[in-house]
Amino acid sequence: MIVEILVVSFIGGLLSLDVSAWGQIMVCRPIVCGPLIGLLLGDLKTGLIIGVLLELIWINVISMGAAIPPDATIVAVTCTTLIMLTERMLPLGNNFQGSYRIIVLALTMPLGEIFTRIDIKQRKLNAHFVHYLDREIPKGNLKALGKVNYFSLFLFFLKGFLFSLIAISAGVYFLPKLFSCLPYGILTGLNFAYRLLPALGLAIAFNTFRDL
Amino acid sequence: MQAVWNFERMQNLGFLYMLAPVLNKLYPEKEKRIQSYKRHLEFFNTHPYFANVLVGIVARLEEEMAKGGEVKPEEISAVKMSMGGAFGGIGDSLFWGAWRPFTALVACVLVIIYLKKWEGAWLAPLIFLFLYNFLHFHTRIKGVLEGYEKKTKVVRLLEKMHYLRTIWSSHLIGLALVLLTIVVLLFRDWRAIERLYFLAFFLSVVLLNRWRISSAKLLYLLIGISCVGAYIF
Repeated sequence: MIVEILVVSFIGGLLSLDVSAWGQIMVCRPIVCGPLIGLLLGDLKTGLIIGVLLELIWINVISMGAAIPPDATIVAVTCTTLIMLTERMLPLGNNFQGSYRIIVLALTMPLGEIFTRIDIKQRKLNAHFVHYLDREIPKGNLKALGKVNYFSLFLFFLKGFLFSLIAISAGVYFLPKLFSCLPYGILTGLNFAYRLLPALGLAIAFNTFRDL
Repeated sequence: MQAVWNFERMQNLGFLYMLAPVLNKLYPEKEKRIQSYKRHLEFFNTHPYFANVLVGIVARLEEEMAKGGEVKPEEISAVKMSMGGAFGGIGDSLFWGAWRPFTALVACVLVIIYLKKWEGAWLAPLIFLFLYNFLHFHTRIKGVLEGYEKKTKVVRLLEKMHYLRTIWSSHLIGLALVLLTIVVLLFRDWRAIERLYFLAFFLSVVLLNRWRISSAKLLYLLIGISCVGAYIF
């Protein structure tokens, strides 16, 4: 379990680089990183389902110019991992699998907002690097440019890695306990909500494409 | 490119980092090289994929200036500002606003429709990556080459990309795909009441989302309603 959490967090850190810092070949989208995590943890199909649900919900989230939207990647990574790691521990059965998944989804959604706050802090911090170079380059220290770029890239990775590590560890600890406290009536309702999730996603996709 | 993205001068360091090999080659003397680095510490922002076009143009202009042409440093700055802004707007609406949602939707629809019958549903993410990055790498590679070759006349590249038509048609096909998926899902072996719930919920989210209610809030709303509903019925 611990090895799995560490590996997934490491991958999560790498994937979060793809959001803006490096590459942007869109392996960071839930539709790709869901199944990727699924593959790692040995259940591709579950990963694919979670990936598609999250992708549809966040299909309209775009970073226009300087605006930074909630981070879909970190949610997809933590949500998929938590669902796969904790479902093994719970006697869910077919009736309550959906109810459990939607709880995890609802609890991991706010992580995107929190991660974005941290991201904004880091981008403010990056201004210090600019000032550092403002001083170093006139002195002739041109190598500092490359160093600053790679150091900042490393910080981006570290942020994604530590954040997913903490979020996943906390989730693995608390989620099973929380689930066993829930009353039976709510579980039936949640299962119903889970089956309607594709409609939510498709409706959001519909609106995205209607805005011409 | 965007590793040191900051709120003060945005992509300036990423841009300088990409341009640095050119500057090192053009200005072998240390003093001139330092001057050229200093000039490019200024504010810069554009769409990350189109930054390559600007790198191409600026590399060419720097080269002409180093060889004693009539280009002035202020002109290079002006080109960076104006074209960076223009390409930024176009890139946002082309890639973030149309192409990525469209290719992602294609993959999602494939998964939703084929997950039960078709073993190859795992191909969908790869199809997404391939479709998306086809245009992405095309833009990057073409951008830096054409930018270097044609300087500011590179705007013609956009005409060749038919970017307005791409945006427009991916929106249209996207809408059609969503409706198609809804129809396919409704014809599955569900009970009549389930079909009704599905359609009603789809339509209400379409309406609510129009009023700027975010998808996260809608998710919580769905959970709340179904929990309450479970107790009533």
